[in-house]
Amino acid sequence: MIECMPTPHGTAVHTPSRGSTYPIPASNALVQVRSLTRIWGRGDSAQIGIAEVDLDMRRGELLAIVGPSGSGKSTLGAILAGIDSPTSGSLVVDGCRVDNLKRDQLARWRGANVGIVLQNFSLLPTLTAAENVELALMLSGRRKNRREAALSALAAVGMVEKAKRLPAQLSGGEQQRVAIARAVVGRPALLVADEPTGNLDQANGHAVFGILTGLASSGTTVVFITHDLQLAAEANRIVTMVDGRVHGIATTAGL
Amino acid sequence: MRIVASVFALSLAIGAVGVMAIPAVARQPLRDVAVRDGLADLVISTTALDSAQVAALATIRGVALVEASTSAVVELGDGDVTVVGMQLVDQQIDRLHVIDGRPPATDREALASPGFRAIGETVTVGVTSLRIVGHGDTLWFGGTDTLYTTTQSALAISGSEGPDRIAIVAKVDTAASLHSIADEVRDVIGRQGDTFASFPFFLPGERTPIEDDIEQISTLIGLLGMVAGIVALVLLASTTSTLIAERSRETAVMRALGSPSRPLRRRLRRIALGITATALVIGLPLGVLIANVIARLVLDEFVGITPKFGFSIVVVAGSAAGALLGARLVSARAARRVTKLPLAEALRDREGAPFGRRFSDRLLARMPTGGLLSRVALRSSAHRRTRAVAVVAQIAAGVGALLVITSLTTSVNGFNDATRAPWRWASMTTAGQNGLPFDSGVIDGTSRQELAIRVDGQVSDLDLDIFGFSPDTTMFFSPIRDGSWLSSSGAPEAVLSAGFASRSDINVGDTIDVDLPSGIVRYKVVGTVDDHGRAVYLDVAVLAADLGVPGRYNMVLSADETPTLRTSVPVSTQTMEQLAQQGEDDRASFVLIFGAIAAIVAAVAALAVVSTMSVNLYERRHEFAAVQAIGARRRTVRGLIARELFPLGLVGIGLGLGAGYLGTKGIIGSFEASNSVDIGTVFATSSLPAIVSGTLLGLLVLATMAARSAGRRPIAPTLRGST
Repeated sequence: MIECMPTPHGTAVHTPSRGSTYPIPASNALVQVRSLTRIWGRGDSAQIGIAEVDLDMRRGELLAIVGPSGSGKSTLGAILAGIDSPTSGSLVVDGCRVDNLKRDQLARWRGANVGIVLQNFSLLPTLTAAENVELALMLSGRRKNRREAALSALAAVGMVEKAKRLPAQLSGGEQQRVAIARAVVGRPALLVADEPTGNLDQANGHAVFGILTGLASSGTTVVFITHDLQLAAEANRIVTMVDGRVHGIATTAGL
Repeated sequence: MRIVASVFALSLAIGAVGVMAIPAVARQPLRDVAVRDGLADLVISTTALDSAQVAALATIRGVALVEASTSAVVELGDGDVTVVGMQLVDQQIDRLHVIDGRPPATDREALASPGFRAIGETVTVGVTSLRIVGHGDTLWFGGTDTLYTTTQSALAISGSEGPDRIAIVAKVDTAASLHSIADEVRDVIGRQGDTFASFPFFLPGERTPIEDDIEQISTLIGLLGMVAGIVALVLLASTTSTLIAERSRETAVMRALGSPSRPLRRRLRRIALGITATALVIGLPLGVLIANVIARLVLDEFVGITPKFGFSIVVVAGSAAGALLGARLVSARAARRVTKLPLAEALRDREGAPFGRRFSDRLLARMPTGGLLSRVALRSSAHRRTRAVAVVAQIAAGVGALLVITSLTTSVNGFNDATRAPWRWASMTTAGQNGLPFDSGVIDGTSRQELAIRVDGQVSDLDLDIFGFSPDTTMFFSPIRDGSWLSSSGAPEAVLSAGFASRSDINVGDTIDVDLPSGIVRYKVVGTVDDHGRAVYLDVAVLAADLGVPGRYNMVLSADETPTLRTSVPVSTQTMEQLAQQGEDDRASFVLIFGAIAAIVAAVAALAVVSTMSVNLYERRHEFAAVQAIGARRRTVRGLIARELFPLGLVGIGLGLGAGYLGTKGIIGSFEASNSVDIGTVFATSSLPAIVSGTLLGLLVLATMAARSAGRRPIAPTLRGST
């Protein structure tokens, strides 16, 4: 059982499984990041991924994270998605203290609460498009009508006619659409997309981005990491990372 | 870590091939000891000889050296002991090798074989007391409890009137020369009415007493060595091609930067050869060590000698050449494939050609084959079919080797039991001196005791047991396969072991020439029996006459475990229980030696599977990271790996059991053919559950370890491609 749940009054609490009793105030935030730090290695060989990142994200927000290579944006994205753990700090998503979860708990939490879209698509090569989407539902714990839900998700991204194709039979853009369908089929509250258009041509890139903005409009909090400032300008807010730290947060009107 | 595991597995596989050196390693120390001890070329047991006869033997053409000694097997409370009387001081043949203490100097002293009695202890044999003054041995009597003393002492103990064992060193030690000398010896002693007591023992060239046994063991060990070699080759091919395939992208980058393909291929080959050479550096000494350990076990158990360290240059060079050549061939092919990949594809693809490019992939994707995880497993196996075949082959090799060894053990057990089955006696008493020293007065004349004869002989150059029984014996019964048992007519009739008869193409009604110690005698075959031995059964009265001592015997079979016999000749009595125990002891040695070899082959196969799976995991690290990223827990990953591994395991087990079945039948069949004896194949069906469940359990453990390993790999960097 995942040891995290919101209180009846909307105040998010966490079980002190790692001994911390840091209180989080009530807010409209889906995601609350406090002093998040990620360091690899020790001593002289220690490398800082991110340091002291504080950030909140609202429900239904479209948030862009930009910055030069090595700025820590992918590291932040990985921690938000739950596929990496911080060295220190806290991460609360929808009232759940994520940074305290153990490995298998974190996996279950990911399956149920987060959708992930990556630059290299990361579809399972031996499963068809529909099966890839269905797998995500299976891992989230859903038992019934998986096939129908998968086809519905593929239809939403315009890929239902190619449901039986293997990833090797799809173009880059098509694979990314399938990856998005896989990420959202379980209706997660949070979607993290790391360079989702990085391997796509302009047309496909715009098409994929259009799907992401559509998801944000329907209430999913979408965090996307990108080098493309034009795409970033479409977001509600832009977080700029430099050398592992938040250099600035601006609304798109502020660019 | 993965490369280390592969190198280790390859080293062990190369080491396992070293078992093929066991016969050569065992043979050399035997031959060294033969030279040290002055082993005879020809050994003949006779009736008691006098000094004139012994002197006459030295004048036989072709004889370089002849010495006579006395030996007798006597009971000594807790078992039998061989008492050997020899010249001691001037001995030139079968010289005593003194390990500690000193040789006996008087008739009341003896040298004991190692481990038999302590220095200073007094042993009473009959009415003779011998004080142990040292420990030592000779190759001829090695492996048995023996007391070496003076000729006078031995004669007093055996009750013999003179020496009854002739050892000859020939000027020319070819088989023909030795046979010619044996014939002349027979003539010389026959002039005074003396005879051979048993078939001569020929040791032409450099042969030693247990060479035949070593050759039989060699065949089996060679086969197991071949299994180990096959596993090693499969592992080598798998490891080499994977090492090179891992460098596809790196090689593609070099090509993209302008490097010609030839130096790239050379570099890839060198990597593979380097890994193989590293494995050889570990594996070859390991193989030499394994061969020496097992050879030591064999020689300690059967001959009682502790060999010096040795190795077979042929096996070492062959293993090295085979491994390097194999690596060269596999790496050349893999390197050519890697450098011929379309450049753009090689730079883009991390995991080689994706699933779906082949028609068979697409066909498989359309087939409903269980749940999602099962589909991933099945399609992954089909996609990496070479890897899957390697895993199946490795599991099959391990299972097959285990089944062969366990079945050989049960077959040997069954054979031992079957050879005892015809015997109806409770005890068998044999004379401790050569010849046929018993007469009819030895037994009480009741039906509970029977006089019989057992001597060595040959038919068509094949060694046989020659038994003489009363035609109406109650001490031996074996079902008649063909013809009938001996009649009481007194005619020269023979009944043969059915296995020997059928393999020698001898039928009921044929006549055979039996080479007895006294010479060649012709008999008519009247029947065959299912005794699982290699024997000729004759009328005891006819046999005694043909041996030149009518009315004499050398064996008493009794329905009592402690028969009362009227004889002053030293005797040795063995009960059926003791015979069965001896069979158990022999089986334990067999199990120990071949169990060790089987354990090595199985361990190699297991490590090979581990190595292949770890390569598989590495290649699919992105896939496992992706599955975990979308919510798969450790047990899901374990389930995924298990679903891939178990079907391969079941196929491997099936193939291994089949190969083990055929291998066992083949090995037993070859032994039966080369020895002209029915051994019978008894499959170790009782071990099947253990073999199968052990293999499946091993695969489950492997899946668990693999899942844990996959879980330890960080998801984010793996997905980004930085690991």
